[in-house]
Amino acid sequence: MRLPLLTAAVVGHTNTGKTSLLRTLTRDVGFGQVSDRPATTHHVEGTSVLLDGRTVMELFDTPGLEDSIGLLDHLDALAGDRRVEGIDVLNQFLQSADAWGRFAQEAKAIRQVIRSDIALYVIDARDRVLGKHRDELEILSRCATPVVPVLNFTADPDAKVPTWREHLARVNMHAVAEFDTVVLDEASEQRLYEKMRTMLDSHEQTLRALIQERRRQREALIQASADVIGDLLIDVAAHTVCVRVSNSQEAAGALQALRERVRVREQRCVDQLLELFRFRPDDCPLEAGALINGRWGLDLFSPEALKQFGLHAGGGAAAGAFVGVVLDVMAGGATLGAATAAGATIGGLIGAGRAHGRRLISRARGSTELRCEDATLRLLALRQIMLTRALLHRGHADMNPLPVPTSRRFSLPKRASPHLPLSLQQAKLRSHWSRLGSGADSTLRDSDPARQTAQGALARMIAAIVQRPSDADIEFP
Amino acid sequence: MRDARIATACFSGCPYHGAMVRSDQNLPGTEGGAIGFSDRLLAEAVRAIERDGAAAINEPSADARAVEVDGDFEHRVIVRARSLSIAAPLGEALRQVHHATAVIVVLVVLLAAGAGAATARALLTVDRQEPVNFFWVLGGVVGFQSVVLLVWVMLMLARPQILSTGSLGAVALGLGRRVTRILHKSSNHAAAVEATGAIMGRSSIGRWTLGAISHGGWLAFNVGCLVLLIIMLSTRHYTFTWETTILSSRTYMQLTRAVAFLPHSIGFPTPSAQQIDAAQWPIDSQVAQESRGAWSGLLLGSVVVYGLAPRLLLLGLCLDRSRRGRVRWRLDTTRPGYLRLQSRLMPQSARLGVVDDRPDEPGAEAVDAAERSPLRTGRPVGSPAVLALEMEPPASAWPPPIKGTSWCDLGFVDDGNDRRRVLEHLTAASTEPSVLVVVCSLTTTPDRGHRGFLDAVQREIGSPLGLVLSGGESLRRRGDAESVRRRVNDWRILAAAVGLPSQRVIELDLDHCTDVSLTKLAALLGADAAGPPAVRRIESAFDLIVEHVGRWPPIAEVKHQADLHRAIGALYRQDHSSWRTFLRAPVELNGDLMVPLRAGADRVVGLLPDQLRSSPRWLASGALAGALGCITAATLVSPAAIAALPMWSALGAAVAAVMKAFRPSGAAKSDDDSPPTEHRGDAIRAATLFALLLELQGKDEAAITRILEQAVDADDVIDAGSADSTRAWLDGIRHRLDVALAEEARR
Repeated sequence: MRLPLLTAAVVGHTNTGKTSLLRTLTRDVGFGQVSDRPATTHHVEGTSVLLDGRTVMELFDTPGLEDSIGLLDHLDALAGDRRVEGIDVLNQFLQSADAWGRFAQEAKAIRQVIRSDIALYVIDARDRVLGKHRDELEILSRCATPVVPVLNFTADPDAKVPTWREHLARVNMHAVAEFDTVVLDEASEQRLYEKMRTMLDSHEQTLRALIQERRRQREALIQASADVIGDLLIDVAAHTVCVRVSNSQEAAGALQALRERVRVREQRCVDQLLELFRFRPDDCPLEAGALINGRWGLDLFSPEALKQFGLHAGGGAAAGAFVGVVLDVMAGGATLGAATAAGATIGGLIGAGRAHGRRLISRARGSTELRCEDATLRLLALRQIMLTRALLHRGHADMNPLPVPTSRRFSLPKRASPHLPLSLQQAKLRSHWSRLGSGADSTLRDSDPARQTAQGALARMIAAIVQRPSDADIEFP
Repeated sequence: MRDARIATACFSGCPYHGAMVRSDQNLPGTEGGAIGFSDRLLAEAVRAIERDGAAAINEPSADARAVEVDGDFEHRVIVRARSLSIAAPLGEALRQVHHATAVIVVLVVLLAAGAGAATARALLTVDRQEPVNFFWVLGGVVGFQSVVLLVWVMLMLARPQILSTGSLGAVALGLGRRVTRILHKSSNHAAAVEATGAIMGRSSIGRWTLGAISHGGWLAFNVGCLVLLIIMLSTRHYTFTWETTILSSRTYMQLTRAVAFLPHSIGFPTPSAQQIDAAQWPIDSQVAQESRGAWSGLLLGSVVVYGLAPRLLLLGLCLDRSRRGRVRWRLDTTRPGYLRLQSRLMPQSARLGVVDDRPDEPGAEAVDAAERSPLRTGRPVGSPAVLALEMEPPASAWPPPIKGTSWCDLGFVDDGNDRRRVLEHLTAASTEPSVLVVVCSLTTTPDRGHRGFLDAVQREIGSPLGLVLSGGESLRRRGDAESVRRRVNDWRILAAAVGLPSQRVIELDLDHCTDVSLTKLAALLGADAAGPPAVRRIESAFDLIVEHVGRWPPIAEVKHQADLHRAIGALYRQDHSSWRTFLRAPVELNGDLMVPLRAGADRVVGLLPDQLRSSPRWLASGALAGALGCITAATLVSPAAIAALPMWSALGAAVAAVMKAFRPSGAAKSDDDSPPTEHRGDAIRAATLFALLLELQGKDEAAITRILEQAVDADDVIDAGSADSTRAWLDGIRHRLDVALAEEARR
């Protein structure tokens, strides 16, 4: 089915973020030139939005209506005392020499507006309502094209949204969209399309398809991020290192090596997430305190990092050098119980039995196992979940850093949850699921369908957490 | 023969088989043909290879072929996978994995058939003289497998996801994977194995396929059992009996009738009531001897009805479901490995480029200039006028309070009416304003509308215009120092375009009015309005910097830099002893130069705020300022001391050595490698720091550090190449210094 093509002109005063809006709507980071300098866009530049490879919407970036006061005076002079329609005067103006001379830029913008199905009038909400804005709106209202005012920079503390809305209502523009190109909010994009829909009956289907497509893309992005995080968690949860109890030096060495491997693995996860959201690690626009050049600021195994997310290190042995890592001296009873809960099948029991058998044997030989403790797994999960949430709200239009929320907004978990999700409990018993270290059967690790099933279940859970509305609700069981 | 057929049936339940057949028909690399399971499997295998970002395959030709396809994202992913050069070997690897698995599955089926035969034989191998207990045989053949079947059905209904892991089929496939990995070590095979594992684990195909293998195995078990039973019953003589100690014969009668109901209804001979009754004591009973055929019929019938038939039905169901699953199965394009490809294969936007009808015609702007009428003169000159262009009333008083000045306040100019009002006023006024000060907000982007207004204003009056840029703090809150600098520059460009000389554009914050800023404003009004403005020493010092830097050769040597520092020091000559102590500089330099220079460098670096100290550039400049400050302090009062100094080259080496100590070891650039502009940048920053410290000395050190922190922005880069940009940079610092001093005074 071919959807009717929708053309939209993006107009507005100079330097209000027209190009940024286009970049965000088209997801094209490199479109046009963005800077906070005047008249960066001198031409009408077009870009099309594709749906399944087909053009459904064409957006045109226009030069700013810089001299709107002068132009309105000029138009009024053209009209004189005659009673004529605004559009006729505009057409007369576009035919005149001035449209190529003094008001060349304005003429380009107006020509594009008249030609388009709808105009998006971008407003820097931090500005006061000035005469030039009023005149711009007056000129636009004469173009005989529906106009949706778009308030940009609404997240800025200087934003004067109510004042703007009041003024726009006074000039009969009631369908106002708020759209911050710095803080990307999928709901505001959807609302913008809906505002356009109210004005354009003929393109209802196109806009609805666009809204659905954007929602699908966002869900896909969340799913993919959750998959990446699930992979990380299973790798780390399943990773165990065998050490001899008697040899404390060996244990310390193994501890260091394990931590390093987990750190590297977390970094790979961060890189993968950034790649999914199409950021390069070196220009990741997140606040330096949390993520520096695409790396987490606080070390995974520092008590501060745990505290940042309201987690506590496990008791006893975990103190001191062993923060974040458990010396799994005797994994017998407790984890066998977990295995029963986790497996609940004969196969599961066999697997757990095998694992425990090996463990008992190694225990008899004076060896024991090192592994990351639950608090570390939770920290890993929470950090990546918060990163994903921050990335989801991150537009590509602006490159100022955005903070990743951490401790300040985190309350301590309401209840201590003693059990990790089932998938992770399963992983803890199956060291061959881990991609860390170099096991002999390292090529077999991913082919175990059970690992895939567990990762899938974990990913679904994480995706649900990522989509929670408020940061305060973020908790990893 | 039957075995073989069942084995094949079971084997085709395995997805690999279907895939193999399709792959044969539809060789990877060809674009045509419908998309089948094998193509998706291939795409999964490609994803497995690409899973680590490092191994990502980048073949633009394959991408291009995928983009040409008119289909959804999954379709394009598959076409790309088929077009990759790796597709052929990967397809081969997939086929080999299928083969290995198929062989294992056939082996499992054969083993199961053997096990069935062995079970039947074991159950019937009893003492020839004794009659065979019918229910023991029946329980051995049908009973255990019925329990397993019941568990399977229950799990399938309750928790189907478990069945993708723990079952006979899972064991068989696990073995298949291991065998493949033992036989083939290539990464393609690893990917093939992983791809099949992923499909098994993430979709319903897995559990139905595994179910098919399990049921196929049990079916083979039943067939083996049945075949052996027929052979044994045909070639040997068995008498069947039933025994009980505590149950009544009525119970056995009913049980037998119940078991016999289904086999009887499909035509197997079953024992009659009399025959059942007789079977309790078969040795003596003639009836029992004659009913052997009926009991055998019941046994075979039960195996068929209770063992073979359900397995056959379930095998059919599983095969059907797994086939349907394979047909319905789609790639999960939300998995990261696929989503990564989206921007390449399914772009969300396409650029249309510039779509103007006609290019700009040159000369359009020239009209304005030509229109400009000669300045009107002849009116008497009155008081200075002021207007605010598109800005909110400042926090301080309006108009700006300047002693001895009575403003002609033209008010706030916002819309076209205001503009006309101002222009009319200027035309109609009987006097000419001595100066017209236009105040603009830096938060406003200058545009051609502003320019047109300024042009129009200039046409009306003969007196000079002054432009005041206010509100820099608000802009700085929104962005970084760089954006402020650029914005100031944009306004300066606009001012130049309307013919304002650059000294008539000043940046001062009316929201934070200070004496200094008001003095600057008074200076703009002209000498007769406020008397000669007091020029501070720091401003002279900055002028010196611009002047000296303009004279320097491309590479400024220590001698030149020292001259500049001495010139700055001379400005502060009257406080010489005080700042010499403050900088901890010696009275005279002799002997080892390194010690005092290093001490001076340490002192200045110690005064820097953290933010500057963490910037390598500023650290070096601080050290340089300290070292040169030492030299300046020692040579300022008695020029003869210069003669006592060692050669400039030696001094230069000492200064370089001091600076080196402050360069971070990571930046192992030797001084000779860095570009000359870097040297100039260091030199300008050092001189600026020196001037700032001389200006601020006398305050306590914490305050100095605080003021420096505000006045100097570590990220603000100087373009040392031109005098104008150096001037702009220094202006920025001076402005922030004023703000910082005002805040410090408030503390």
